[in-house]
Amino acid sequence: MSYRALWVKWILRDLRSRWIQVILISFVIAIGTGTYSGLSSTTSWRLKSNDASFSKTNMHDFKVYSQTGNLFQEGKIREVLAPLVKNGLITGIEERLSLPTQIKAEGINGAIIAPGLLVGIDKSKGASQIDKLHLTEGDWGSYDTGSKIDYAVLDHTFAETNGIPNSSIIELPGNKKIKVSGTGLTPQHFIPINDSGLGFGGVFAIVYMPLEKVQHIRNQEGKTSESLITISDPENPENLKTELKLLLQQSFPNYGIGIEGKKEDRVYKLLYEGADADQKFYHVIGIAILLGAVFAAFNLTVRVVQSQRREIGIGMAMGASLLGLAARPIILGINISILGTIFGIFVGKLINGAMRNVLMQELPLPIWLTPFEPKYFLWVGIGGFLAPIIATLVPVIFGLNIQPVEAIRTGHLAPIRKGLSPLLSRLPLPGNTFWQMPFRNLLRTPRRTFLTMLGIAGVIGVMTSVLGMVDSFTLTLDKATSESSIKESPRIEVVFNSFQPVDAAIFTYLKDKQGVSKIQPVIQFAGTAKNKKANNSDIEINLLTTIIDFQNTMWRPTLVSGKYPEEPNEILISSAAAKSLEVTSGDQVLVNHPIITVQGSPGFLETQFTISGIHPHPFRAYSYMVPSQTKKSGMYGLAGGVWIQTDQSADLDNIQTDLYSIAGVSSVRESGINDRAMKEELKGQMDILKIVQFIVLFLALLIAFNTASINMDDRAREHATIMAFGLPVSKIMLMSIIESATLGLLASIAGLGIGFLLLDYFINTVFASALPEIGMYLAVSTATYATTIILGVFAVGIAPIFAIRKLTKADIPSSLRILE
Amino acid sequence: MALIELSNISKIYDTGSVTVKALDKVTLSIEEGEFVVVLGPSGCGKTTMLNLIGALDTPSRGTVTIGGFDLSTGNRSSLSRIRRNTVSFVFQSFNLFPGLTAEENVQFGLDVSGNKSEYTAANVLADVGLENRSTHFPHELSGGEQQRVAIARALATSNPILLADEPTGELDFETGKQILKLLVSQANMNRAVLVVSHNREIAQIADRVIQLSSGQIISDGPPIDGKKDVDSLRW
Repeated sequence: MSYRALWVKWILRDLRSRWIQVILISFVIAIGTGTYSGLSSTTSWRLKSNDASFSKTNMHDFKVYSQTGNLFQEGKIREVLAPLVKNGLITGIEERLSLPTQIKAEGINGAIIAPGLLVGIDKSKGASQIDKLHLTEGDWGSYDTGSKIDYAVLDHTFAETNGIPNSSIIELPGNKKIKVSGTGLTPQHFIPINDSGLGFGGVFAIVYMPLEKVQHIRNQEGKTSESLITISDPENPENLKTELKLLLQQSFPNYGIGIEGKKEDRVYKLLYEGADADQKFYHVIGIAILLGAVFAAFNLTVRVVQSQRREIGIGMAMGASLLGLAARPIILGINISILGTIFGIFVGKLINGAMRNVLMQELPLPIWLTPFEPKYFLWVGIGGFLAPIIATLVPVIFGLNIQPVEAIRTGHLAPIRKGLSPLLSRLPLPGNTFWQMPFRNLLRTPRRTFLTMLGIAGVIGVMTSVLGMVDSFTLTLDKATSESSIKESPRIEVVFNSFQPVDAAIFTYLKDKQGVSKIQPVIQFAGTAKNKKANNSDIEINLLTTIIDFQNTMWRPTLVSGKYPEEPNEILISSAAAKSLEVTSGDQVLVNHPIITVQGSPGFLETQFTISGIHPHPFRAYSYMVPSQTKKSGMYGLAGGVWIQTDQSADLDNIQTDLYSIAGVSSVRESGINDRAMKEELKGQMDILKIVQFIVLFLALLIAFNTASINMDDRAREHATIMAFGLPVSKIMLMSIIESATLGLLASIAGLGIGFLLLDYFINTVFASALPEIGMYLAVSTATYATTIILGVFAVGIAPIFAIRKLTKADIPSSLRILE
Repeated sequence: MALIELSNISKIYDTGSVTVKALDKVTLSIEEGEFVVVLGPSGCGKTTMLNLIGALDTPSRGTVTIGGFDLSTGNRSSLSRIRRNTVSFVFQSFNLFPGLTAEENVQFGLDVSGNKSEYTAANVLADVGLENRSTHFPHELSGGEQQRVAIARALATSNPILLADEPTGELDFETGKQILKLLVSQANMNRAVLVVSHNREIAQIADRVIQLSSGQIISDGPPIDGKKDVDSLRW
């Protein structure tokens, strides 16, 4: 046999004897690279899908509307803008009527009463050309001659979430029955959003109908609320926006004309900014898993190769070529690299598939483009490919650079005589020698123990942060629920179409209604709050302000700090708002709030407010003022809605249905509807966390198993000796389990630390930018601490059991004969 | 009944293409207190025989009975018990636990056998002349010292059968003599001591010398020139 053939044969034998370890280490790398690339692809998918979806539905470039809520005469805006259409600056104008509404429907879980938006779309030219309705099922309905039934297309997400089938009947205020002819979505409502700025997929209904039908149903014949405009140069819209504003303000002086560019659209922003913000989250998780996996694979490969160092020494002593000596371990590393890359693509595709399902469910865009993104795999794939090769090179280079005699002496069981090893190996330990042995094994090779522990700790850290995120979500939702609810009975929030005097008959009617125990008139309006940062830049956030009597006996927010507002120009804000605005109780902020002028027309005014106190509701926009504030804003003696507390025995559904049929009532909802929306918002993240949790747990098990398997190989002779002294396999297994479990315990403790740092970053940096409207509370529950430690100790601890075959099938005499 | 009985045992290693007969129809019995030396060239089956007696391996044919217990009828647990309470090994390649100090390695022998006598690991270590090396780890000991720790570990178990594979192979003459005295003293304490060696000189201190060749016993009896005292040995 030639020299070369001998080496080839030897290499093949190495691979044959190590094939399980080679495959498992490859799989560890694959999980890291696959998870990273799988998670990282989502931003690219989302951006591509956003572009394709907005393009397919021809999203408007500008939306013209009245900030004061005035309606326009149909055709009037078209008339005013005709010159700009004529000179080609504007390519299309389409008018719509969008009005708040309430719908009642039968879903799979019974009756649903939900707030929403009734959207009238101009179909007079056959089909709309701007912000086209993308039908996911059905059609607009066929209005036969003499047909008395009206049809509507229901928002896809709302129908899907609540299980409202096509052809079912929904009810609008005034007992107006409408047949659902289809489901669909338009670009402004790809994510249904209400005034709070939260995505309300399951609890906020968008109902699309032909424009004239909506005008008729809502007694707004010939009226529109907004005009959607497309322009010839969408890349440079600013000049045209200024021109449009001037032109429209002249024509509609009391309308408070608002012109919103495409990029200012809340859904558009949410979809693009959300993609970037979510990517930060996936990126950090992906990186953490990748680092954990590559580090673990590196460690494991080093350990596999270290067992060949003595053979390298012997080869050197016999004068074999260095290249030949290095070839065996390097080829082992290359095999791990190749298999790791192949498996990584499979894992990446698998995770892509899981992420695709979650995204498509959470964000029902008309078009989803989800190709495999090789560019995301390429870099991590290269890293994953190189790691095992470097891991093989390190011990090989080290082995080749020392005297052969040293290499020969340095077997895989040889002790490290530098650093902490001499100190730690002499630590006095209690108990029998065989109960000491697991700890001695860990202590005599502190570097190896530390590196193995760090690899597992990294993965446990990711798991802790994932569980911590679930805890944080839960705590945030709990805070919201406990803050919104009244202990005795539910609170119903009724919103009127327009302001009502507090002595109006409706209040007497509601107060006397059966099942109602208390009522509390309220005013709620949207505004903004602004503060200057230390660097002089403005921070502005949205507010949803409620004016309530803080002495009322029904409900009031709780205080985290400060006091309730007592005077006008005092405001109670959320702790999330205080954090965003970088203020605290006693500080001043500029609040932009609505007023009703003496002439009776609504407008906005910027006023300096003092923050009297801070409440704990996680929804950032919630803020509160005293009733005397209404004197300053022209709303004194008025109410925009009413809170109703029912008797404990009252049938809530019946009361809601009754309230809903009262003229002038625009919506009826149970308190805490925003909390449900928040839950919906967090659900998508939770679904992704579940995928991550599974991956991380699997990776931890895989690393632990690999470590245990290599340990078993390393300790084969030691185990044979113990068996020769008559200790049963079960006791050796127990010793291995103690060793692994101790490693798991150390890794869990370190993992908790890593996890807490990651969690802090996720909550205070990533989520703070991804979901700015929600002030997340950071929490790590006792259950998470316990789960992490138990799981870490248990998963890592039981790993040797999977390698029990090596013990039961051990050839004791052969193992004993092996010379170090 | 003899403490160790081998009845017509054969051990055949079948590697697929080649069949190696390590032991061929070997029959022998060893009584309590006997000091037996097994001699023979490399590959003649000495270590295989030791492994079979030590319940580390099973014969292809025949029966091995230790203290009246037929090892072929034993399960894993009962074989472990035999190794724990009946036999003690001194391995040719020491097989010390690298994570334990010299004294702890000896303590292991005490712990594993459940030997509760007053005789401590330090005492046993002193018996082999290593009282001043008790806190050293195996890598800090010379080959000879490691050998002595391995012997001390086996002695610590106080099991009735002591099996030693080349126990003086790594030792200088004086230390070797010291160890042999220790082994002889074990036989005097009514233990059966079975020593495998190449060294024909050692055979002179045995009660019985068994010579193996190609897996078969070619002679079994007292030393040809009569039993000698350890101090009279020269090699």
